[in-house]
Amino acid sequence: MAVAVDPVETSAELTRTASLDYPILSDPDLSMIDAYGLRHRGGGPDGHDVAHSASVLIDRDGIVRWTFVTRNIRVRPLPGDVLAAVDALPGGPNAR
Amino acid sequence: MPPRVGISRPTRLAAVGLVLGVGGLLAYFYVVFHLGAWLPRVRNDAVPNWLLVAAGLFLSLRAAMHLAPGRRLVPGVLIGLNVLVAGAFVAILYVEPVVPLAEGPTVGVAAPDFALADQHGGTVHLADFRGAPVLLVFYRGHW
Repeated sequence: MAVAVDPVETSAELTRTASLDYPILSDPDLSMIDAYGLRHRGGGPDGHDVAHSASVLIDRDGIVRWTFVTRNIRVRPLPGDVLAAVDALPGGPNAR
Repeated sequence: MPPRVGISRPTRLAAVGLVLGVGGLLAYFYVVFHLGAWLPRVRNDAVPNWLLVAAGLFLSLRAAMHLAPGRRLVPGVLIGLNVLVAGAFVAILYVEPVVPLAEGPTVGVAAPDFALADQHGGTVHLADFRGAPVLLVFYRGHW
């Protein structure tokens, strides 16, 4: 799932234009983003607060197992690194 | 055959160097906007772009070493432009996009639950996904 401060309408538009099929969550007051320690004060284009660019992998029991927080917003986690983190989850990626 | 006039060797070197530098910079934008999903390492590290920019600077350096008195203006301008392009490349990749450090959630602790609206207007709880792994991708917004 993806999370941003954008309003629902913006996320719906992005879903259409980018053909996304996973949930895009709106956190306009940054309450959840704060709970995850990922508020970037003044980071938006007009100076409003936004989320840091980050990825968080949570296992089937709700435990954080892997994070990627970048200091350079160009840099994204490599797909292979994300998949390796999923493979390393306790009980395997699809265990129930 | 008439003697060749016009473009001096430093000018040619500097021109090719500028083309390489601009090409490295523009190719990076192309990777970011069109090929990032297929070339994630290039997107992150930009090694081919670095090689192009470095090759361009090398040619500019060679041009600068062979400047002839009285024929310095054109190659000098080209060299200066290439230095500016290389500086812009560094700034765009390593200065402008740097943000303050954030810790993020601690590995090994329970992820905070949440209830947020999705793009269809429904409400998503993290607890709904108990029993399956979840990847949360925080992004800065769509603008």
